[in-house]
Amino acid sequence: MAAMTGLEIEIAHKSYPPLGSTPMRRIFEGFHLSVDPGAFLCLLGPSGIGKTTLLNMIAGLDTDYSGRIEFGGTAKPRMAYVFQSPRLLPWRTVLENILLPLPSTEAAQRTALDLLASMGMSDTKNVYPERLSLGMQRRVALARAFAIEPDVLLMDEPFTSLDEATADRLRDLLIGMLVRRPATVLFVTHDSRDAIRMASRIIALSGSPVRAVKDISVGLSQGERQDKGAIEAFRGRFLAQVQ
Amino acid sequence: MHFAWSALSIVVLVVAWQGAASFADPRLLPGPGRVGATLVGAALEGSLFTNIGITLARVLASFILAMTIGTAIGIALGRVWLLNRFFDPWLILFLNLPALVVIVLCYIWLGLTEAAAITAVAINKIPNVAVTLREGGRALDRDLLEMASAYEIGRWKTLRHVILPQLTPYFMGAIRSGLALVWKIVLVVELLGRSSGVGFVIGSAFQLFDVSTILAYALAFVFVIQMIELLILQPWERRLNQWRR
Repeated sequence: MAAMTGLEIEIAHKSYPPLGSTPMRRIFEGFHLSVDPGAFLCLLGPSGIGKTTLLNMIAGLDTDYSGRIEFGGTAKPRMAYVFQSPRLLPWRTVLENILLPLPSTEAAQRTALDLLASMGMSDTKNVYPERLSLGMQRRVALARAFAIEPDVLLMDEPFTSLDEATADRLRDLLIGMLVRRPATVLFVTHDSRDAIRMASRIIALSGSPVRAVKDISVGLSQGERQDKGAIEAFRGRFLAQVQ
Repeated sequence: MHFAWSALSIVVLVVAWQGAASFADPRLLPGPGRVGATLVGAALEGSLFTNIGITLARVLASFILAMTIGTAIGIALGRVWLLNRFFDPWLILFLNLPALVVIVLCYIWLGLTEAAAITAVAINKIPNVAVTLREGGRALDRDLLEMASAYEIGRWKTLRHVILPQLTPYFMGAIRSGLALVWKIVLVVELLGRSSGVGFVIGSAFQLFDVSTILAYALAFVFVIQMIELLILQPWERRLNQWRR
């Protein structure tokens, strides 16, 4: 197994410039976060406080900040990003979408087909994404992320606007994929149940500029995570005042 | 059903033409029969196909040149705000420059050559392509560009899989209006400074007061352009759009 990648995040300053009548917003001010290799870290907090901004900075999409983000182990880890909307290319088939970040080789083709098969989606490989349900599209986005065998997996509320049963199946799928192909995960959500069900560590964020108000490691067993009662109990114990 | 209406409409036009011709001086307005005979004559002799072929080659060359350069300029202007700010007046100047001025200047500066002819047509078309594609460049989906950048798929793949497919409708628009514009300008270029092609033949027929040849060549060329639309552009567009629901 490849050496796992940890993250060392130090954001000295990040703000959004004033826009019209809204004043300048300071998002991060002396924000520090260190993530262990192989952790499943959930960033929990209300919408609009800067969780997505943080992921974008880690992914290198947003470079307009002062501070540093370092990856332990490798200088440049392979990074996959599952966005809040699936962001698939509507003019490419499911298979072509998964192949997009891969080199055009036979091996890549096999990887993509294997992934589709393991997700039970082989029959959709030649379908255009817009003909699929949202749940299926999110599944394809997940397959695309795992196709590059990421060291770091960024996920931004990837299971929103799904019915509970579909979201639950996707959570199981994600856990299953991670067992087969471990990665360091940063998972952004505003749903604490989502967090408790999957995370090894939960950080609750709040305020402007953002601070970590809670930092909890989740020691639940796989069985307890399937149990709604256990999740509610955990939530009551640790997170009641956050959410 | 659609085809039947088109056929009926064309028949009515031919009948009206015949009706008008029977009242007019046959030298000024020859009827469909005479024009048809001229057409068959030119076809049998071979000059019809040679000239249309030459003109089509010029249309194709200047068209490809204009689409390539115009697309590149359009995307750059649509994506980079500063470039657009600076070059917008240039674009407006070239958009409003009369085709005739560009043609005459190209012939003066480059000589009465094939290169001058094709350059002149391309320069006339480039600003239109650039303006259309600029709108496309502005409307590119930011989410997908971010996805491409997060997965580091590289410039070439981003262009091919993310950017160009989004530009397809703008591209098809530029091709449609482009084809109609380019072939008309090619005829003027041929009239002014070439000794072959449909424009040249029409120029000679004008000297000889040969209206029948003018109409025969015009009709033949319109037919060819329509066939390009039906047999190449429409099937191509259908293929490009098959992903749409």
